[in-house]
Amino acid sequence: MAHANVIELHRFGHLYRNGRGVREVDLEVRKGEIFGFLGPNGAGKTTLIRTMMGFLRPTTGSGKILGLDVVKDNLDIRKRVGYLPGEPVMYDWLTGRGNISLAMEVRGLKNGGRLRELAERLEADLDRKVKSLSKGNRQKIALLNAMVHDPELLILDEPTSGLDPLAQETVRAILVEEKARGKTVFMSSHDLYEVEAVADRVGIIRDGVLVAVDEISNLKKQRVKYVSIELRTPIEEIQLPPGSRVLRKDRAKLHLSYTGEVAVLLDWLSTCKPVDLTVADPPLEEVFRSFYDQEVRS
Amino acid sequence: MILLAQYLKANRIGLLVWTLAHMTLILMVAASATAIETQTDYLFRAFSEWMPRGLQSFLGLAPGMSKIDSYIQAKTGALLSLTLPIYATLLAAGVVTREVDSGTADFLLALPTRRRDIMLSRWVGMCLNLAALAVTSWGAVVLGLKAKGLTGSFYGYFWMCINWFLLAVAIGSINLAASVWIDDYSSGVRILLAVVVGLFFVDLGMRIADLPYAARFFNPFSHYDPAYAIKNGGMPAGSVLTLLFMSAASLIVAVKKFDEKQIET
Repeated sequence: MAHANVIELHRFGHLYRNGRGVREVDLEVRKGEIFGFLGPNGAGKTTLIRTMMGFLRPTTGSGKILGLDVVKDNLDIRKRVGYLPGEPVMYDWLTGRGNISLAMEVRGLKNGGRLRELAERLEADLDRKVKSLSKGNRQKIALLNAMVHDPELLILDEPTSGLDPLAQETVRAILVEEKARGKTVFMSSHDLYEVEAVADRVGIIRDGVLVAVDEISNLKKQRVKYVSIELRTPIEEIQLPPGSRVLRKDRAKLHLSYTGEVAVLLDWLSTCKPVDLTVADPPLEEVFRSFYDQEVRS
Repeated sequence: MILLAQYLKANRIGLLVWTLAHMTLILMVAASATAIETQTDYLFRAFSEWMPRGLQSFLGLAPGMSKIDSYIQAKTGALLSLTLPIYATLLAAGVVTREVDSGTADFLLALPTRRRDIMLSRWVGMCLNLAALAVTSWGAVVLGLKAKGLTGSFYGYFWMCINWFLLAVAIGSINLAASVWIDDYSSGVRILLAVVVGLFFVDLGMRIADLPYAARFFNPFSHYDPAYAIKNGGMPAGSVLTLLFMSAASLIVAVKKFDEKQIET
């Protein structure tokens, strides 16, 4: 039975004994989309992923992946999911190929699956022992391991971590192709550019709470505007509107982010009598910061 | 089977090193049988009259045994009775604690395999490793004695090795269960080894104090009686059942707790 939502979490969370963790996440990830899961280190990205994968048991709520219960049907979920841990570790004494072969044997796969094709694209060194590989090359092997059985859903925790820019670009291209093949990708990252480049929707987690889920285009449009304004009057004399934050000042030009009603911004602009003006959707970074940096706003 | 094969492959170097070291030591001891036995016999026998019965038996000085059997028991049965449990402890600590500590647990647990299958395959692998060490130890005793043209209770030595093996499996299984609560490998190994060595000396102390078997019942080392094995070519049924029960109960706990274990980063 086909499910429109590949991931469905309802008040889903895992709290550690110290009270930290992930609290009551409600989230749906649609079939065939790339979902970016953003948050700084320690926000709870990895905890949520590990709970979805069954490494941790949910302390609240319930979750379904590919229509299967996260706790009860975890074995079946793992058959159909490709998982890349945040810090992938494999058996050091085996080669990359040895590690992948072991995983494929456990998965009951006889042939090499997509190993050759993906390894060539990623330029992964399969025949050296893992202990002698660099972090980037280990990451490539771990990525291959997650993708080689052609899973319906990829759950990737920081997929481009440790990779050089070219390899990062290749990974992003592969993920977009996977999406085109009807696969779903759930990827965590703290790299805003990366998520902006590939994801359809994004979820932002802060202190274990999912604070926003939206399409990237909506999220950027939703509240924050990037305003560059050139003024005749000295910048110091300008009274900024509420919800604005100065990003940069150079000579008579002021660059600020604005969060709030557009009408209020227009009113303020009319009083400033600007010489030149640019209002644009902000880079995702600015949207991201608006969720984390509220107290800095003027 | 795939997981078992992977486990055996992973431990092959360790097994080889332990087996060679163990065999070399036992071969040297067995091949030195006459020389050492004649030199130390008088001293040992003189002291043994004041020793408690339990200690006499442990050191191979129990009455009714031939000099060769006494020697083999004293030098291998007693002194090396710690090596197999120590090896079992190291193997047990490698099953969960090392995999969680190093992060390879993530690799395994992301695969479509049940945690109980991982645990059972590791336990079977541990038993096979210990069996290989026990059998080669017996072979080394026989070879060492035969090389010197001596003969002893070879069948009894075989049972001594079986007793060794069952003791090591019980201790390995207990440590396997305990290791599910320990995520740090280096401190885990230290703790588990300290417990094993502690249990060994507690049992030795109880034997010296001549405490009855019932008082020592819960210590696995109390169910190791090389003198009985050599003299009778077997093991007391109670000891066999107790060691098997300890192993099975510990394995059940290990499987259940590993199934519930939260694998944190």
